[in-house]
Amino acid sequence: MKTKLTQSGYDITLKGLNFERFLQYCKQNNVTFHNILRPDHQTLQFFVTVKDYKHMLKLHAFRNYTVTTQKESGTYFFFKHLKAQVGLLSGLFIASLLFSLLSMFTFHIQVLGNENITHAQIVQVLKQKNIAVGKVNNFHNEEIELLLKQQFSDISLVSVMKQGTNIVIQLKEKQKLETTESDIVAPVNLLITSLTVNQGTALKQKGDMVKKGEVIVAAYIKNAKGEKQACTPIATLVAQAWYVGQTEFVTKETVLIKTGKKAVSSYYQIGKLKFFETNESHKFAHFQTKTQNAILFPNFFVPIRVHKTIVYECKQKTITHNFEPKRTELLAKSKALAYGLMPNNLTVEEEKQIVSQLGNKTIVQTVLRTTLNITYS
Amino acid sequence: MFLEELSKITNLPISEVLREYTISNVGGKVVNISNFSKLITYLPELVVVKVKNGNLNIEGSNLKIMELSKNSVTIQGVVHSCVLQKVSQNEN
Repeated sequence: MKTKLTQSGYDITLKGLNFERFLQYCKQNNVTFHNILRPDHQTLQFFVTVKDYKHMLKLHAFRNYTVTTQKESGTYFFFKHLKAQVGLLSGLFIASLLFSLLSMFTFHIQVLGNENITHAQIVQVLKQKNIAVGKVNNFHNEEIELLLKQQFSDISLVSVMKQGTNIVIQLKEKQKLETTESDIVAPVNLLITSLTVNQGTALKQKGDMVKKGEVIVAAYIKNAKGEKQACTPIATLVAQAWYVGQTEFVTKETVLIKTGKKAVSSYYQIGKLKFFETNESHKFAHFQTKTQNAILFPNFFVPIRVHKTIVYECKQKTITHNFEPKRTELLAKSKALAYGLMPNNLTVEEEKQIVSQLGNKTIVQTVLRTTLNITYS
Repeated sequence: MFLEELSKITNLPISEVLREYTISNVGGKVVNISNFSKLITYLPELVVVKVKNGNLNIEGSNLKIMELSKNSVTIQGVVHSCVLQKVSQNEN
């Protein structure tokens, strides 16, 4: 059965009497009616296709009735109205053509994450590949990323993206190691058993526990006036040091399991303008949130951003893990970690393994004791 | 085939079977009548359709004619009764 959804036609309301005769007359002349309703004895409502309507007009079927066309529906009317809107159509066509054309251009080059490399330097390099503001730029992002990496040795990570008419270059520069003071510092946690200072100022003495990174001998000496004078510290350090390998085992943990219910909030954004904003509220006691942020059409002239936040309802579940089956494995792992930390030229004097409980965690430690004998000159 | 079976039962050729009126009542919600000759009455509570040698009275509530074409009519609504009333040749 054909319906209004698939056909173009008119919703008609007739006022008058003896509708049965009208219907019979039209039926005999091959007119097909749809959705006939009779709200009262003087009214008849129905839907006919455009073809049947024209045929009815030819038959003068409406001559004894008052006709009201309630609604015109279907693709026929859509295209009919479009025909009358030539200006609008042309405008839309020109606008989309312009959008497509302008989308090919670059109007802004944005450089993010640079500290020592300047924007101008990046732009200069891009010019080598004929990429510049106000030009039609067709390039592969990977190609530019490679070029920038080759040109700047200070770049450790770089990503190039085309967002509408913008080129966004995100980079991370290599960290430059700052020159350190020439103080003698503890390489690990240690207990000083002997310290002989030939040059410099000792800040620690025999029997002191020193944490890793703490200064043992400072790179200065004080003159007769009490003023500090820089020097290279020379000393011999003998100390007991401990290398600790540690692993943790969670004995009791609370995990969140999704129930399947969710609340979605989203909006579209052009610049600072937000639109089509939907905000679904929720009363979930426990939940996990996932945020999505993407550009709707990556190469479109206007970058339309879509922000979506999905809140999943969760229920809490406490899981208990048995430590004992894992004991051997974790002890071996902590041992490997401790030996991995200790330099190869040192000898292990004592090896101790400790298993302790801390809240919901079991801490497994392997402690290696050794003696350091270092001469700084 | 359904039509062949009907042809055997009625002792009529298939072409003749196809010309006869048929009434289909789907769960008291939709009634389809094909090969009817005339729509006599249409009210939301009553639809009377003339078929060969009789009138078919469909009583119900919220009756709506979904489609009315030269050969068939489909009525939708809450159908309470569907009665075929024989009309003598003289009356007709």
